[in-house]
Amino acid sequence: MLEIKDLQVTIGRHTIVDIERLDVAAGSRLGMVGESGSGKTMTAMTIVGLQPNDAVVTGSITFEGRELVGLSDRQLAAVRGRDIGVIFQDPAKALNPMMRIGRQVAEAIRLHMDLSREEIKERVLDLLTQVQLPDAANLLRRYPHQLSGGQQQRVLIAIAIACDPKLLIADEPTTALDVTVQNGILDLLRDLSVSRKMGLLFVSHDLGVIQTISQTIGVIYGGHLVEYGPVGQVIGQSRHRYTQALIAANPGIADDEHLGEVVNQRLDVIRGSVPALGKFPSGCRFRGRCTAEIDACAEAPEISVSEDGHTFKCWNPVQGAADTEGALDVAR
Amino acid sequence: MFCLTRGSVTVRKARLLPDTTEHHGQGGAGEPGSDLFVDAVVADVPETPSRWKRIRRLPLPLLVGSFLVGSFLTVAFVSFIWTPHDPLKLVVPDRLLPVGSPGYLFGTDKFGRDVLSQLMVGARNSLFVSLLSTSVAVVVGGLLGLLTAGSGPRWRNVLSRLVDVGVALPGILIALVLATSTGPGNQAAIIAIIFWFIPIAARVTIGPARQILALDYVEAAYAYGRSKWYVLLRHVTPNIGPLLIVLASVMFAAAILIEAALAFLGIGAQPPTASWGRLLQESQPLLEAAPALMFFPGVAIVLTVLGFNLLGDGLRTILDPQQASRSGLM
Repeated sequence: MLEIKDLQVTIGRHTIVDIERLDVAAGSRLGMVGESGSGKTMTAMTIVGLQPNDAVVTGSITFEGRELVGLSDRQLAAVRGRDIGVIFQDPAKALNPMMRIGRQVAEAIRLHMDLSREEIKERVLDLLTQVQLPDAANLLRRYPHQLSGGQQQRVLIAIAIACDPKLLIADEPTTALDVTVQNGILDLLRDLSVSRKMGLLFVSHDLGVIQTISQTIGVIYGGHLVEYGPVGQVIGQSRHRYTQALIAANPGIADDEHLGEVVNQRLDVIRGSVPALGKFPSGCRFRGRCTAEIDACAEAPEISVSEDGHTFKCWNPVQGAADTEGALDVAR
Repeated sequence: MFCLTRGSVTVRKARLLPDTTEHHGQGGAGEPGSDLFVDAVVADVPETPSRWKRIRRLPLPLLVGSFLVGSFLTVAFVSFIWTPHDPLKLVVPDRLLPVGSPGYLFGTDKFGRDVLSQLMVGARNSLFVSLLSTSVAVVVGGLLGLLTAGSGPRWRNVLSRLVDVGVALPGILIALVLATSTGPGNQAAIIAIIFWFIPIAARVTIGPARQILALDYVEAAYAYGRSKWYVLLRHVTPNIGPLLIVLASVMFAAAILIEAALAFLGIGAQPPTASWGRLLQESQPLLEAAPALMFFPGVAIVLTVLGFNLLGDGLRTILDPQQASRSGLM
């Protein structure tokens, strides 16, 4: 449904995003994981044309066969909201503080659908119920600041799915929420994606969250898609050294028996930090921080394909497949 | 001191209320409908305050400002249907009567015209000039500011600099030039004030509008397909609305002052139109003989200007929905 090919986003002299290929099939859930500044949000926003004004986008993003790169703002506006919904990171900031909830949810419907006033109100109530907000009728008249963070995020989800989009882009939708609320939102997003057969592109820096929600995972480092494949493969049998290091850096959750071991164990870290824009090494961008560097890494790595559509870009991939299995038993 | 104490009590009492929504909203899975919970919280707070108490809870500047502005408006409107005397009627035997003379509460001027009647009609003139000029200036200036904030970097720079030039032009000079080219009168005052205020209104709007354009909910509005101009009008304008209203009331005060000043200089309202500035100017040579003639228009100007400034200040406090519910006004 959504196909990204040779996408490059450049600001000034720096290429922020450089992705050869990324697909989201209809009704499937893709998780994009990466550190801050890795370009994952930029990728997601570029899909709906919300990249910064000074960014230059090349390559191709097709949605149901229609090219999105190079569309005018007006043409994109027709796609946004109707075919592709977007949820933002901080629900407190993504709602207009001066507008009542009912009106904000109705906005997108009024724009994209030809409905009467009563039908719109009915639909808004229905949407609020679908995102499991209780007492929807009462909620319509409230202002955003009268809601909790979790409620606000549910309202945003209601806005994003208001016109039955075929793809929902969620940009770190749980980051600003505390963990108990996170769970509810993740369940809701998964349920909505399944029941509406709606594609989900979920962006997060949290591997645990990504693992729970997605079927496919894309790992992004320095604007490059370094590993891509089904959840089980990428998490269970990761090949790229960066993915492996990322998983190893997660604190495991042990059962009571092994608690002592885990508590006293030092957490693995990825040495160094993400280089500033334009400071990335030539060849593999993870060079310098990687523990398994070989001479070949000075060249840009090519895409290797292993079984079941699992792809990665690494000259010296992890060989022992069972290596990382079970390392990420984060209970969610 | 009195005002301060009252304010702090209000805030403390109100803290209880927003908390309730936080709690039963947690995770959205809670039941806001659970009346038990709501009742329990409400029980802590004294029963719904009467209307009078709710009015007394409003900020003091707003109350005083509303009272002064209300008096000003009342006087201006009453002058249409009733004044103690015909403000233009010359009664030579009664000239320069002192304050409190029978039939002439504020005395009479050098032609025997009733001062109170002239003040009342003067209020009408102030209202007319200020209302017209301020509303045009705020609407046009606000739109210009929105346009500037919403345009691309190049146009924004050009427009911003033009607005800066406009702010830098001395308004009183514009008024003088206008008066010499079109002739003095109310229309010269109105046009001068409009041109004076438009760049200021635009300048004040640009910054906050740009701030709001950078917020997530604007991005969110683009994300569900709204155009930039719609976003500017539907999302940005309401959010700078309080600012514009405060700006309007402060500008109104300034416009009254400028109207009086222009009339005083002989550029604004011309005799026999009654205007506070003209009353001041006519009383000037008689400062020693009849100081009251200068006193009353002066006080009228001060109180009205003060009233609009206080009103603006008070409005700023209550127009923000977040602040308002925090202080229990909504």
